[in-house]
Amino acid sequence: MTQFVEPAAGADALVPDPIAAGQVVSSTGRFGAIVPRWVRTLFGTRLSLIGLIIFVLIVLSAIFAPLIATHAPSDMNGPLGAAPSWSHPFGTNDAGQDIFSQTLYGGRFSLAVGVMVGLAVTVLAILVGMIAGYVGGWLDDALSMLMNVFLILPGLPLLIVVLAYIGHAADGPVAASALMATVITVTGWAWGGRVMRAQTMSLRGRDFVDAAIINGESTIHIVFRDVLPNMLALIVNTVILSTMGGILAETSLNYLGFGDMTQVTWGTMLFYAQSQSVLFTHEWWCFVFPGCAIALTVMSMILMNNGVDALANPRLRKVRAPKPARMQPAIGPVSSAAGSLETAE
Amino acid sequence: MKYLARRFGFYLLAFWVAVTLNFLLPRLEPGNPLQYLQIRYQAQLQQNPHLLDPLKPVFDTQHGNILIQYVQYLVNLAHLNFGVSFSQYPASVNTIIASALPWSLFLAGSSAILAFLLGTTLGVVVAWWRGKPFDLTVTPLTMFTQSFPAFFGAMLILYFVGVEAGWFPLNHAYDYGVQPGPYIFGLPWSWNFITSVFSHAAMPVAALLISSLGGWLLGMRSVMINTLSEDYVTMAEAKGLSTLRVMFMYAARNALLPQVTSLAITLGYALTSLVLIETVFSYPGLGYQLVNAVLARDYPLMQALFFIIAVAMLIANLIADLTYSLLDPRVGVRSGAR
Repeated sequence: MTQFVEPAAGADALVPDPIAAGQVVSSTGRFGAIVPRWVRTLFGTRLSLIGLIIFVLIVLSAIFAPLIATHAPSDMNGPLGAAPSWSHPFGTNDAGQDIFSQTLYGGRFSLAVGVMVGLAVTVLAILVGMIAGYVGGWLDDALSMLMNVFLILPGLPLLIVVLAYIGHAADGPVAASALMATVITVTGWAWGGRVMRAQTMSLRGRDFVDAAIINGESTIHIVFRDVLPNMLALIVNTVILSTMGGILAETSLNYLGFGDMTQVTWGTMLFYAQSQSVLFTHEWWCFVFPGCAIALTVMSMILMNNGVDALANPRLRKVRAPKPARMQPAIGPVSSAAGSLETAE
Repeated sequence: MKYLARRFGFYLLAFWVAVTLNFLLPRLEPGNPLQYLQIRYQAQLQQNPHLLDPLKPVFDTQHGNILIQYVQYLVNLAHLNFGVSFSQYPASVNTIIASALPWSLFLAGSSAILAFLLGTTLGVVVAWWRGKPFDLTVTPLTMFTQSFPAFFGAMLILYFVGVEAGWFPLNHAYDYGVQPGPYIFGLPWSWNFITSVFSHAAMPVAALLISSLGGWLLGMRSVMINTLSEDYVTMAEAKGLSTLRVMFMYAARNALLPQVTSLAITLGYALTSLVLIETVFSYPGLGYQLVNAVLARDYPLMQALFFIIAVAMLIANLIADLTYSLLDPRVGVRSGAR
């Protein structure tokens, strides 16, 4: 589960269509002049805009936690195990800590790990995936082999075993979050690389790449100046999904008790909730609020991602596009269905 | 044949990587894992001073030649000699795995089969009425459940269905008072035992089902939408065949292929999400044992469990590959032509 969620089946076989992108942009409001075109494009649908707003609110509440929170996160001065009330809107846990403040502060660690993982996975995926997909040959064989081996190893158990040996090494919130983000990135980057590789391979056969080669452009220039901009939707996709995967992995690991248990994170809140058996003493607020914070974050990211998906894959849009009459089958009998398997090879 | 040979080669490589990781990871630990074990488990070592001997090749990172240690480790592995568990002394690691594995397979298998049947059927229906109210409610909902943090979902189920409503037992795999009863074909068949097992499995299976249902539904939906635009489906509709017949016998039948192969792969992934679900419900499977082994720093047990889980993933994927090349002959041809 904590393995990163792959984009919808077949998304890797499809190419973002600049013409389709134009259609979404047309409905922009008065922010049109300020916001760059590609941002408008990515968040042009209503659902993805809702997702963006929720996500920004969550991030802001984590950043400004010291201003919003009513108590210090580890302050144990409240009543023990009190239900939600005016003075403690989310209640308190068995140690007398305020759940509302903890949920606000807890987001800092979880979101920081998520964002670090999201960026690191994307950079790694772009580098490895594009080199493999563009250069081809033995290099592609070797890199694909590497990615497939990483994909087939069980993600969460591997994370757990790695952390069992080195998890105690980190000291303090910065080191702990960096260590966790590193481990999650190293064990979980491969799916992104595979998706990038497939996309690069399909773009490599396009006429504009041939034109660039004939023009005498350098390989690096072609890869990063000609091919990369065409993968924008996919890159945003990867950032969003791997950030989400990072948050889920972090909360899962901390929930199981394998992180730095002195940090206040959504995961450790759930860990302490479970270990103090609040479920059996009916103190539901101890686990429902941090859990809902995770769920809400994940949901906002899925909404954003769906907006990007709809952009990259016109077939996923709700409005039934006119049947591409005789042109589509020529690509291949099972083009998108086999896409996921073809890359598995 | 060339395709199959390549695949087997890949799985051998992946197997070797898993095995070698298991050997190398203890070397990442700052300090000496063996010393740690000696200090922490003094009591067990006084009873049996030879306890650490089978572990030396892997965990004695300070002494000896690493190559010789590696060979010794491989020899131990080939004999499936994982040593004795420290945290559950004097049980051998093999006994613990033998008692945990069936429970995990039972949970993963039953939830994967249920999710496959339910998710695929719903996916067909949703794709057929794409853009209609049913699709517009069910599809976004499953997109959400798919990425919903599985352990939080499990905690919600445990709390509201188990603790508050009291419908199902809260933890473990069966009531310890129940006699497993007469064994036939190596399996216990006492009625009380079977009902006890099923009622204990209900909530974990439901939690796994919810987290994996979305993948099936969305996968089937997207393939099905492609299939629905094929000419033969239009033809079948034009002939006046009943909706159900066109839906399942014509369109779904051809969209099913990628799903069948995902079944084996999800079985592998289910084994990993089991870690979380089993912990929430204290269900005595591989994942629960892994978490406890790591928390107790029971290195031998932890190592063996990771090995078994990795092998299970490999086998599930291998089965998926074989099935696919059997069902779709084009697979072998396509990569053979490269």
